Amino acid sequence: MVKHAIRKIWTDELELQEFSDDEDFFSLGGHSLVMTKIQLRIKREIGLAIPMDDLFRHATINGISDYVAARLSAPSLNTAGA
Amino acid sequence: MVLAQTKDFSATIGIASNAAITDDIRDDITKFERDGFIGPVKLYEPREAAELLREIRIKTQNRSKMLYQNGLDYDRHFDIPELSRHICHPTVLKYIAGILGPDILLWRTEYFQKVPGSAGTEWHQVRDYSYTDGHPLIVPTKTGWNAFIDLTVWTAFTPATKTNGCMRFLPGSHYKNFYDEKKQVQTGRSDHYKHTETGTGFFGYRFSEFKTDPNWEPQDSDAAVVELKAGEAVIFTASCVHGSLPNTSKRETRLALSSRYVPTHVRVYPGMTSYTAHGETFDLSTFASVLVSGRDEYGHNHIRPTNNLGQPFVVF
Repeated sequence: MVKHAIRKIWTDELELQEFSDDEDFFSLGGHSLVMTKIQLRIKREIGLAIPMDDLFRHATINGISDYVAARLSAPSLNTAGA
Repeated sequence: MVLAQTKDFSATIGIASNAAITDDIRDDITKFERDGFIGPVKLYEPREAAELLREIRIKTQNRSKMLYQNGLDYDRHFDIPELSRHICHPTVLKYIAGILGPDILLWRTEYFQKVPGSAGTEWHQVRDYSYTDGHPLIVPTKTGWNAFIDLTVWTAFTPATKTNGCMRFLPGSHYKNFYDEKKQVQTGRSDHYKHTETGTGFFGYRFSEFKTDPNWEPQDSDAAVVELKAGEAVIFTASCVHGSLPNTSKRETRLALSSRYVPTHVRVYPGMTSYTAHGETFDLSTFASVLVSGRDEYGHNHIRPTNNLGQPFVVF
């Protein structure tokens, strides 16, 4: 589900249809301005604020999907100890 | 084509009398003095450059230890270890010492990213960077120096091609003033702005406003176009008229880093606590140069031996 949503965002913002889940964002023609748009959409559509350096560090569909899934399943710091 | 070599400027052109020229680069230095640039100079294997680029891109996004709190990414050699090392690259320093002499300061680094669809950078010629806000940013102090006071090493971390916006130069143009940075111009110096949103030819400025002869038009046919592989550099004096081609590619972002070097007798940001350039203000309270080679016998400039992570700059 997360991967599907992220793929849709990448497809829109990179204006690309055909690419694999392991292809690097930059080799697909991505750059920092495009990544900023992706960051905004992930926050708006998936509800997760991701620092830019983490987006750059996990720069494939598979990489960022795993990262998002892990973040979403982690216990919130706000509820710890409640 | 080499332009007419008419010397009508203050004497900041020439190889330093104490330049340490090794035999393997002697021909390159001769070409540099004639043309104002030399390259490609190989610094990294393409795969090594790609690995560096990946780290640089990631770490550039972390702005917590930057020198300046503004919208530009100047001087990231202070908080990105790969750049702290890059500015001290032995091949770079060999060339710089072969032109400026052995005592060298690194005073500035800047990214030059050109995304697909970007316009070319218009022709420009810089001697002391006073185009920025009217104040010279570098001033030589040594009497009778009669040599270059500032060199730029422009390293491509992606390929730089005719398609994605490589650099180009007017060979020999450093011997003449085609532009006057002291002119009072209308564009670029006034209000704060985001240079990427201005649509001007020179990051917020219109460098054509500095032309000494408004009727002079640089001829593209005179230009030397310098394509680079990832990991290669071109070394030039900014007083050689230069610019870059547009990025007409569909998916190739071109990214380069400029490292700027001066001999130690040059005062950097003389008497300044801040300056304004390309729509941003730079607070110089934490600024320092890096002594990348030799000794500083002048004490004109604040020099830091470590970056913002506490790591030493490796001096050769």
